[in-house]
Amino acid sequence: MLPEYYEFYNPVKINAGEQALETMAYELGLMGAKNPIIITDKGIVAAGLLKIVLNSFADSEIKINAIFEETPPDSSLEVVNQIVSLFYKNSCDSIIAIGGGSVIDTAKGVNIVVSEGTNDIRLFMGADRLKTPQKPLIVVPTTAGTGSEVTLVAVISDVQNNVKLPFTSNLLLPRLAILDPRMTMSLPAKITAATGMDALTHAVEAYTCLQKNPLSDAHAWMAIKLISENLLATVKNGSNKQTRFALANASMMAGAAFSNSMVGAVHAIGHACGAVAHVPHGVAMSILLPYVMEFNFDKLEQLYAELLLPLVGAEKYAKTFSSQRARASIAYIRDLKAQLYEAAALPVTLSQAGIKKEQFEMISNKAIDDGAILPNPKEVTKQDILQILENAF
Amino acid sequence: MTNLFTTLSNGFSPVSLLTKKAVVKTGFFALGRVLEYLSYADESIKAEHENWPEGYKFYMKVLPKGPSLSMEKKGEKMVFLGTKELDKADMVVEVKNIDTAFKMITAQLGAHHVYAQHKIGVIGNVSDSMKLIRMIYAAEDYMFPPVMSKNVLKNVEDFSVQRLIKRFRVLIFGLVLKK
Ligand SMILES: [Fe+2]
Repeated sequence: MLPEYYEFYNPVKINAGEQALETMAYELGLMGAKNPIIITDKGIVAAGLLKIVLNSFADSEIKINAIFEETPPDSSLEVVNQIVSLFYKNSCDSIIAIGGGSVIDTAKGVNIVVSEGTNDIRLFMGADRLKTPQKPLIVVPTTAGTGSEVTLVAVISDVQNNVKLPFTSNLLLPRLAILDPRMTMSLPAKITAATGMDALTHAVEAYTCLQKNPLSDAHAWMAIKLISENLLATVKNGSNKQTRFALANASMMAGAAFSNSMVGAVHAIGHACGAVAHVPHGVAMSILLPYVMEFNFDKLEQLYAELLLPLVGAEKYAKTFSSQRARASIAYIRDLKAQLYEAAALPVTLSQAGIKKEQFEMISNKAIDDGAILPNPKEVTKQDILQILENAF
Repeated sequence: MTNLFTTLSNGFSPVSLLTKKAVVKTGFFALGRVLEYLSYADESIKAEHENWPEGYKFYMKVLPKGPSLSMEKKGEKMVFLGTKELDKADMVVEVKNIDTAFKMITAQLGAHHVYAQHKIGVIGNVSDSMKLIRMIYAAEDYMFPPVMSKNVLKNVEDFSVQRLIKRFRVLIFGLVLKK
């Protein structure tokens, strides 16, 4: 069924596959840029990934004017401002982000400041506050999960005031995303598992939440198929280029899906678990996904039944009675969690992730005020959240 | 009722635009009054704005030219300030066009759909806007008969005599007598 009204926007060019990195110099030229700043983190440098990127510019007219290697796991205002001065001091004209969610969010934050010519990024907080076309931003994701390379969101921490500042604007979308199989090869098994489950959650929530639409459905559907076919195999054998590349594609497509149709209660509760108990985002997603699916079951049975096809493939789908398919989808995800626990010690319950029951009250208070609660197709009360937490404990 | 609204919402003649603006303005007026009453008479709504500081102001504006629904926290309650936008506010909710506002105020479109369809934007704190949306939900639940509120609310409470009495109290005290 089509929605009464929807919007879908994804102008990011995707260059994906073998030697994708080597197309960057040419693409920068098309954007009128010559002197990018590279934003990355220590892990990327240690894994030798920065070197691969730098080598891809050999024999090109691009001159990298500055490199920032110290992005912390949580992007913050201080770091953004530090990089901004580096950008100005070295007369940079564009940005290349190499990393996971934090590096990409930091790069988007830097882009807001240098493009809007402001000294206070907070003025642009909220939805649609950006007014100026941004400088060319190229994103090279090194994890397969957040999908930030194709989302219009950035979250920057204001450490002093202990708040997270959200920015959403179509202008924040990067110009180009590079999916190069070399870039996700060194991701450790546990992070591969967690980020993969984050991507799966993006796709499942995009497919089932209020603003699902034909375009987000298509992206979500393919993302789910690629994740179910490749996640476990990649966690067990990280050196398989093809399955790694499949996950990078899945993460990007799930990102495009949820950037347009939004996420729901899994994310609302997961964000709160992160804020209160510092549970890594992907871990929280993996734990909560089947429990929230159970909660939404009466409203979403039909859609969960449809998802069994990309989750298990045509043969198993056909062999499952139609009345059993929705339950089978949830069972499949539970089983996947169990296998990821075995293969990479990815926590299955909230207690395994270090959450204490005393934190439930605070988590539910935060979750109920999270923007992702609204697009959830079923009304969620504080009591409901407490029950979900209890079930997932 | 629905037919009348459907007729009103179709077409773009200047008359229907004026009519829509008038309906939205009246609706904001009613909603503002009811919210003010419930902000101290309904425990769950009271809890939502409990932590907002004295003088906390917000307005919900229909772009580009209004009307708006403006409120301010004074003592234990949220006071309705009228249908003009404020010079300064802690939170601004922008409804992107009059048609969306018209559908919201005539119970054809719920706040969660409007949000999911990217038809409202928030300047300010997201968690404050979630509190406001829950307050509006609760007010709409009182204002609209269940047959209408099922369009705007994800869950509609079951009929009960107690609830009916409460609804009349809200409409009489909030809307008519403005106690
Ligand atoms: Fe996520």
